[in-house]
Amino acid sequence: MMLNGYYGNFEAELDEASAGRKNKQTSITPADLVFGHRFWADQQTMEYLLEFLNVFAGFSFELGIADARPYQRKRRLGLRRFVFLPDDQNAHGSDRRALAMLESALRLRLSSNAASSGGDPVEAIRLLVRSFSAVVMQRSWYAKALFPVHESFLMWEGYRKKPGKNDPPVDVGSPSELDKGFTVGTHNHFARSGEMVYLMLGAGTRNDPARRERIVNRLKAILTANTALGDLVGLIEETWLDLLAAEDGQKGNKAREGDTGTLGWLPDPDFPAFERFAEDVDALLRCRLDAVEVMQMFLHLIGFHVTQYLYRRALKLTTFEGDPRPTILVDASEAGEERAIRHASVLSFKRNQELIVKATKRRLATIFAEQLSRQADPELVLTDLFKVNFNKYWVRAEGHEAEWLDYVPTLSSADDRLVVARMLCATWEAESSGFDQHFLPVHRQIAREIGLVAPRTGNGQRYVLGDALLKALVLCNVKPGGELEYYGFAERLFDRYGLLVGPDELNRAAEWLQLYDVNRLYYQANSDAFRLKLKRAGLLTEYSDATAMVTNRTDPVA
Amino acid sequence: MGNRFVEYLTRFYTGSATHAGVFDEYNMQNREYDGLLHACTDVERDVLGLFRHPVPPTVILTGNAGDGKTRIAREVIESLSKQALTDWGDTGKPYQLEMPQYILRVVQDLSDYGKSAAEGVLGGIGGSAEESGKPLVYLVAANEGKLRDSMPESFRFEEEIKEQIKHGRNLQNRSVVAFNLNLERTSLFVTPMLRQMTAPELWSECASCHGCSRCPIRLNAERMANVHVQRQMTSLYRIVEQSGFHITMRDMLIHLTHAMVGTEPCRSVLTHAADVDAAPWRHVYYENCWASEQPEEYRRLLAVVNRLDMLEVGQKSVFEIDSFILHGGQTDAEIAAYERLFADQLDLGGDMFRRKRGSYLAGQGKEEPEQQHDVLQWLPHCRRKLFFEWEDPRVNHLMALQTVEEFNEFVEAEEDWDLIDRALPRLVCGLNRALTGVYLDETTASQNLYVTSQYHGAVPDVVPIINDRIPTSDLKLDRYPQNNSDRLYLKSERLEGVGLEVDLLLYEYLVRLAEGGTHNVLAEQCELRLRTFKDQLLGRVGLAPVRVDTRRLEFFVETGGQHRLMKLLVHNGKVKVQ
Repeated sequence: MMLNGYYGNFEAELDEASAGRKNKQTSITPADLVFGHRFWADQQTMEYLLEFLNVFAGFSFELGIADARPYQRKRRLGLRRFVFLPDDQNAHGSDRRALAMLESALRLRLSSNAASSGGDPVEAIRLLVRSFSAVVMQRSWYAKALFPVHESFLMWEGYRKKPGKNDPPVDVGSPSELDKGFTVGTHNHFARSGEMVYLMLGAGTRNDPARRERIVNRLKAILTANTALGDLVGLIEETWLDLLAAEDGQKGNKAREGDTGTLGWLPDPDFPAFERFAEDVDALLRCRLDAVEVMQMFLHLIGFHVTQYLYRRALKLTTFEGDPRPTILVDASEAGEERAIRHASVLSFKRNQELIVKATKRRLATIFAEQLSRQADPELVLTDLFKVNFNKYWVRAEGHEAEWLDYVPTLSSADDRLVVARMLCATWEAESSGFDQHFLPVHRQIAREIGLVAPRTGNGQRYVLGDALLKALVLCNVKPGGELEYYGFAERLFDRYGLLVGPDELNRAAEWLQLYDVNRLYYQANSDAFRLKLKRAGLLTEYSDATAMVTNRTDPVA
Repeated sequence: MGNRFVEYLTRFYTGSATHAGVFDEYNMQNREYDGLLHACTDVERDVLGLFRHPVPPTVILTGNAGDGKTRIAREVIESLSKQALTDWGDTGKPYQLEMPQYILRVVQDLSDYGKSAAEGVLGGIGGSAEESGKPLVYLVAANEGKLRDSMPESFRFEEEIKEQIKHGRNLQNRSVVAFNLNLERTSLFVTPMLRQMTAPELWSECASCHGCSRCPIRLNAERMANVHVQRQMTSLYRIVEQSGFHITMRDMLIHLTHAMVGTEPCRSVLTHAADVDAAPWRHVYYENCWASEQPEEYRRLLAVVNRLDMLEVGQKSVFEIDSFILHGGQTDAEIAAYERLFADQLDLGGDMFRRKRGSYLAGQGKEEPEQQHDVLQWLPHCRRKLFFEWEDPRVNHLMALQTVEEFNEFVEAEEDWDLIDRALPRLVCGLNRALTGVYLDETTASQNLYVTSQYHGAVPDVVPIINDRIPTSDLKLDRYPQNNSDRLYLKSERLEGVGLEVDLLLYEYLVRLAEGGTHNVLAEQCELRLRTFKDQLLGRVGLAPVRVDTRRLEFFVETGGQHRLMKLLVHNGKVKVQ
């Protein structure tokens, strides 16, 4: 397979996928080829952040690795049980036993002043750590996760096999036996989107080592700043590891299956969107904030830049501009107000989504055309890439070529174009349900979670800007302690991200929107509402002559 | 025939055609009562003082529209040129005056300049004129927003100007003196202004008017001449200012005028005054003061009224006041006061109130038992009347804010000990409860100011972790700003650069929290400021060497329904519970 311009672990993964189709983990989809391997709709934005930090820490805090080197995954089995197990009604007896062992060992490490009054310190510690629960939902204890206020809170997604008949009885198992059946190799929730974030930041700092170093140093500093908290949580895990070590006489982790991972890939590493992402992260990390706040902001920034990337990549593949600007019309009005802008915003959401579909088809057709020029057999090309039941879909696609020709690039041979169209038709029929289910909703899912899209449920999604996202954007675009005049800020949001709020930027927006009939007064009202929103969020100071300054109130990091 | 002064005052009515008259720049021709409605402020005196120097510093006047920036600029020009200024010249160009030793350029309003032109003005500060080589002195009037936005890149006076804007002018600075009119207390001028507006000679022509005895305007002029009424009006203004809202000179003029004359000129007032249904008593100053009868779009323009609304004066029943209104006084002094206050008079509809009250006391006047008696509809009116006219401290309970008096004491107290002993622990207690979001017990919450961070995540329990603590004894409560203070400022040497402006609203909010209140109507106004303060506090942690021991972990955890402080020492693989 000869596909160029990918960043990350492309060749190896692709070959693996081609060689062994049985391995579900490395199956390839059209979206993987076009947007990177991979974005997955079930992965929450919080898990983008967690997975990213796990990968980053798993590479010993190195940013920019883009080859087949493995990164370490944290098991943290002792910590997980300690924090999440007591709430889990379905937990197995062996884990309960392990928890009891851990707790009694932990108590030996606790000493208390005789005078200290009431309350079990172990419970107090559990309450403290548990208050950092970041991912809970309806999940089993092993799949929950903590908010990353410190490196020692990081843990890879866990999976617990149900104990089988041949497992030892619960009441006699040694620590290592109790741990059997637990793995950190799955990709159910850490579905590799965090790897994409890692690659995006790596790509975005390829030409700016100083920026890369700053980001690395700051992240490291933040992940180690809360020493006492980190030590306490580290000690809980350590207590379990010591029990394991006591059993076989040696300390430390034995390498287990799944304890390392390798990166996926990202297309087009020179895409300017990545550099912009890195700039924003760099700017955010220059603001002095405590670990909780900075990670919250980072989370929103990640979600925002992933949607930016998806839209921009889709635009680039359809317009062929080097650095196209998406159109994201933000509806800032309150419920019940004028709806003209709201309708236009709903439309802009729909169009961006359609663009993603269109771009995927276009890009696939281009890949097919390129591959076909090297490898004349469409069957080989297709089966090399995807898990396509070639015979079935290839036959079905016959006669439908014309419907797909729009997506096919100009080629010297008209016959080749028909072949490519048929390949596209066959592929799409085979892959579209997976695409619609697992990839297409990604941008909506993330955007909802970070407050870029509302409502959270139901139809008629439109773009909004939630308080936390807004704050993250202010922190990235106004220097710490500095201020920026409101219209300048709004202009920057448009220039940099395609976020459109008021009438001033309308004439530079996408043509369809300019032609879409919304009175400029409504844009003005929208802009006023946006300004009020900034003010209410404490991000804007208004003066009496209608001048307003958007303010970043943080101090700069020394 | 109407009173000429009343005609003049109607220009302040924001709905009138002559309203432009309140803008100094449009008011060059008609200056008949100009000096009368002008208060010479400290700022004006200081600015004029600076221009008596052979070469004065550049002067920057910043403030809101209506603070009197243009007016002061005009005074300066007129005092230097010794003639009346009749024309400001082209908009967007400075007014230039050549003095023996310098060239004065007056920028009447920086907002008339585009971004680059405005930057050019500020960039020119400290320079000299090309032709003559004389130093250039600027007098720039600018709204604060425009001023901040117009500072050029690496502007050498940026820090100096911002500092003076924040903490007050520095008259010693030779290069630039910045006056922030936002820091000035307009309430200081309420009494002098009312005194001038009620001067007998202005109202003498009313005596010959046949409607004099039925005229609410005339009544207002009389009553507002009363020292106590003036004091109460001043205190309302002061409370608004103490609540963190700046009142501009122009807003004050508009409001006081409205309180006095309402919206109608003499002639129509007189026509209506004859008509009982038109209820002339609704146009007395203590009703006009709230403009409650006016349409919403008009009220919105009355900045002072919008602020006064929050005090809800007279809207809620206060037992002792209502009882006084309906049943009269108990003591001799009260009885005498009642006879004076509630005698038949224009603002009580002649004998209307007295008759209604009589029937109420006699148990008459109600057709149905559940029906409310007519006289009760007079209560809000009478409460407001008493607020202004009854010299009794209980009338202050008519205001929605409870801590006005003690806050005043602190802001104006001469002695510091009281402020620290009484106010500080309560403020700190309220602050801790507000900042942690949990209900800490009073002793814990009053001893230290806790800088906590907590994660609001996927579980409902929140555990605030203490990043730093500042003993209450290390905190300082100052008055702010230094001149004419009307607020408190909480700070500590350990929090260099971070402080909290505590105005009346925030004070009230925190005291209510400290006293156990949970539901708090002021939350919306105050929470944002507290959040910003908390962000700043958290930003400071780690900057200063405040964390003595990084192995120590302290947090508030809920056990048995109470939040307890838990201290752990994590060291060498062991945890010590302290």
